[in-house]
Amino acid sequence: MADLDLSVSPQRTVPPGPPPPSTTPAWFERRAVLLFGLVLTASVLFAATYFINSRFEVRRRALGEYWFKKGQAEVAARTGNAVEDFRNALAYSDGDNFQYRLRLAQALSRSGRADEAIAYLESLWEREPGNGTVNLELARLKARQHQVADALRFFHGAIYGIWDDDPEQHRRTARFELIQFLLQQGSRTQAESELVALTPEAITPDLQVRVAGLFVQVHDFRRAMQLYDRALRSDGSNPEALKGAGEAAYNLGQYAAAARYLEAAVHHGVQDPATTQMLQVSDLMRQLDPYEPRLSGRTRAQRVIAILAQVGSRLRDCAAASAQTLPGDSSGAWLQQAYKRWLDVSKAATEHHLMRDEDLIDSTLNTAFDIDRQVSANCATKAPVDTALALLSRERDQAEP
Amino acid sequence: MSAEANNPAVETTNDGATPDLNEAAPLASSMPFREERFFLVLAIFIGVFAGLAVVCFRITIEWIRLELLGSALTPDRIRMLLAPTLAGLVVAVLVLRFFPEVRGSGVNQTKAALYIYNGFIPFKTAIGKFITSALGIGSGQSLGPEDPSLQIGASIASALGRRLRLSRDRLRLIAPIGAAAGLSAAFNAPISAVLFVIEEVIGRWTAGILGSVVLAAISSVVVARWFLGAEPMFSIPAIQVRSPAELLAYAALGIVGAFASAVFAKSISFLRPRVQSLPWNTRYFQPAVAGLLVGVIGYFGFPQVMGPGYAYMDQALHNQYTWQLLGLLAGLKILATTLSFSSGSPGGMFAPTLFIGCMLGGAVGGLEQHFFSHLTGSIGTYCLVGMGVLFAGFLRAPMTSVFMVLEVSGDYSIIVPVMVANTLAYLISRQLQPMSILDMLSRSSGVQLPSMEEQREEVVLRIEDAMRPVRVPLVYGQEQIATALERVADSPDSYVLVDNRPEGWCVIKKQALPIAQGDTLRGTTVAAILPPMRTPQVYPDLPLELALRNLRDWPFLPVVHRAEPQQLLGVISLNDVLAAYRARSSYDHHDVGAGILA
Repeated sequence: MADLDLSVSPQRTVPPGPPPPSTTPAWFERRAVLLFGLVLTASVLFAATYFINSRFEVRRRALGEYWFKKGQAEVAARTGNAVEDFRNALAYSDGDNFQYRLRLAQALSRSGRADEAIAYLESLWEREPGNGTVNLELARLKARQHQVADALRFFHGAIYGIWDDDPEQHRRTARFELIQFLLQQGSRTQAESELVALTPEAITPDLQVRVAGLFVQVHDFRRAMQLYDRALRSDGSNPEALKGAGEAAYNLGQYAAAARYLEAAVHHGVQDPATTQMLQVSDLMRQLDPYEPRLSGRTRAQRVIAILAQVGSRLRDCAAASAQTLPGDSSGAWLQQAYKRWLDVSKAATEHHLMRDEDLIDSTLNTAFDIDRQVSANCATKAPVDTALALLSRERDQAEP
Repeated sequence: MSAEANNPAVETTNDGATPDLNEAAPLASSMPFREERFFLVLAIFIGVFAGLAVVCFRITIEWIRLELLGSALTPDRIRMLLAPTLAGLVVAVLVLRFFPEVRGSGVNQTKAALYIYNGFIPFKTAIGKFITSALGIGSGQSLGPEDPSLQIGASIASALGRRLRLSRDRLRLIAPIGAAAGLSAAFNAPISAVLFVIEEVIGRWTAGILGSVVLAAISSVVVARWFLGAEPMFSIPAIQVRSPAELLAYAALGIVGAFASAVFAKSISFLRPRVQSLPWNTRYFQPAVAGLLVGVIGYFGFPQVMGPGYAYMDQALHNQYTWQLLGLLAGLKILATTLSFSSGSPGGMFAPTLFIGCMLGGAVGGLEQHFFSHLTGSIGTYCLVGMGVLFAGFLRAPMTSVFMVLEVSGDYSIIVPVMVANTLAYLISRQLQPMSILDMLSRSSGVQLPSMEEQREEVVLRIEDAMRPVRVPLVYGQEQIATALERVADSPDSYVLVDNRPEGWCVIKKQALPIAQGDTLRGTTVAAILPPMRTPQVYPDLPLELALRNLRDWPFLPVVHRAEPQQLLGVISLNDVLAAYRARSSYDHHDVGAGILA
């Protein structure tokens, strides 16, 4: 059987047996030495690299600070060259320096490069969505671009965001800007709700006056009045508060109070035409208002007659302005007819009759105001008496059931 | 130990019966296992050394830039002209007189070390590349630091391997390990570095090499991040693709990027050979002339094209430029990089590729948004995607390009647009420029390196492509010799396949049977007369080359089913293998468009 060659392949060599075991300790020792050498070399190189890197880091940081300060100086000097300086500072900053990017974005924003500023700010916002400064800058830019929804989002982000120093002041500033933005957009209701939220923070007279002024803009005169009163309690001679209170009272139809405030405002130096006008109107209202509470019959009658006299005066002024005579020919028919009606009602409205007949008061005033409306439609003037008569007419209309 | 024992694709049997192609090796000693572990530990040290070297390299580039061009991003105009010119003269002298091996980017040089020089890269190359690249890039040449970092890492690894007297196989592999480490630290992107080295340098995935490459890349990037910080290279707001139709915008970018890649590649392939063909003594001035021309571009208002340009890429990502300027910068960077690279100034193409892609992406994105304002992607998104597009189209590393964008931005929300754009760029650029730039550069230098792209396209022949049905006589080990003899008597084949499972298969000469019958072995089974060695069995999915190794010893091999080993699917012989290779070769010759055998 040993002669049989049943295999088809040449005899395969017998594979070698296991290696001799005696070299293991020497191998281990050699490798251990090698590893120790590698560790030592790595440590030395690491230390050298650390030294080089530290020195260079000092230089880089110094360069970054140099350019950053230069940029800040440019900002203070308002030269408009800060952008490049902040870019250079960013190139030498540690990783992704938040402050440098923020200042660069602000410089870009001030330079009118809104899209570029937004690009940086949005990446900063991704990193710190609650950062108040970033949110406020974005809100301003989005507002400038009329992106209302985004602007609102970022304004709220600024109001409820995180501020490093004096957070209350910053949040207040953000809210004031939001309110101004809303007013510009014509969103008075939203602005008013923001003002209501701001009211508890108005703890100083200046803030109270400022917030009250905004309430006036949104036509919430009652809240404005409350805030002006609070401001005046602290400082009764605050001209802004006096003026504002007068305006609020005026718009609330409290003409006596309005006249008081406005007189005090004028007394303390407020001399703008609008205040003067309001004061004159308020005075006229005090003098002419026949529906003032607790008026005697005689006084009421006298006021009705005074109103009629004013209406007659307006008719004559209107005629003079249109070169007509009263009574006159038929040209300007409405004027002649109005004058005739005035004459008729004036004859009937004596003090004696007015004191005894309430209906006569009503009919007389109806006619007087109707004539006045005609005169206003054809010969409108800005005289305080015109305004007063118009206000009286409106109040009468609002009072009628 | 036989080569088959190292092949993980081949199974072994535990019962010591029929061996598979993973032929029962001699008892594995603990020596190879310790060698393997030591190599892994060595990879960590390579990573550390490469990381430290790259950190120093980047500091040196920055320091040279500060000294030569100043600290402002927009340098003084006279410096823009003088610095790269004078530095170019110095670089030329250093390269020509002291460090001739450092020309080029470094990628092909590392491949050459792997495939030609058994992993040998002189340590002097690391020093020379460090100095000349730092000088060139720092002075404003339009080149990048990543490729030199790759070569520095490879050189350090090679020197370390030689010092430790590693085996030739290990030495050959150690250079790419160092390359991955160097690239990982330079890019701060370990995954991309590993993928690039495997995709473009080594060209294959095996568990052994992958472990070492990964360890080296990780240790390198840990070291680099310790010194330079761990923040991503670029940061943009996260993107939201609100509608699938927006992907069309990114697809358009991919198409444009493919054409830009082709223009870039053709520019280099046009200019570089012409510059190299100039008289040899002009090489002393070529880098200086290139530097001067790059400086002129900067002088006339485009300093962005000087150097790697990372600061300007960051600005582009943050929408600091109009789309018109972005397009112009992309074109000028192609010109500047072509000049710098063709002049022979050492430096890489990675950073310029990213720059061109970034600017081009921003230009295309800006233009698209101009006409289609509803597109929601920011310019920064298009810039990032553009980087990947050029990486895929120009360097032709598709997988690396996707991961590279993800790693440098740290933002995975961008992955779908990146994949769409990169795939299109890669496919179209292959039609426009069949040979990749790395292959073109190596062949223009007279070095025939294997093309990784071609290797990826090669069809691997398997046993199922060559095997034939069982027509040889088949007998069973348990049957009597006489019975077996009757079965095979009329067969013209001279060999018989014996099924002696579970012990295994065996191929014997047919004439052995009558001999066995004629004596005292009458009544004996076939199994009793079989030789001790068993014929290896193979499986249809195995590569053909595995069968080739054993057909030296056997006339044919049985092919069995993996799930049902008792099912004999066919046999394969040496003639079958050669016929399959010939058929494949004939197909390749007729495939004119592939250029496989160019």
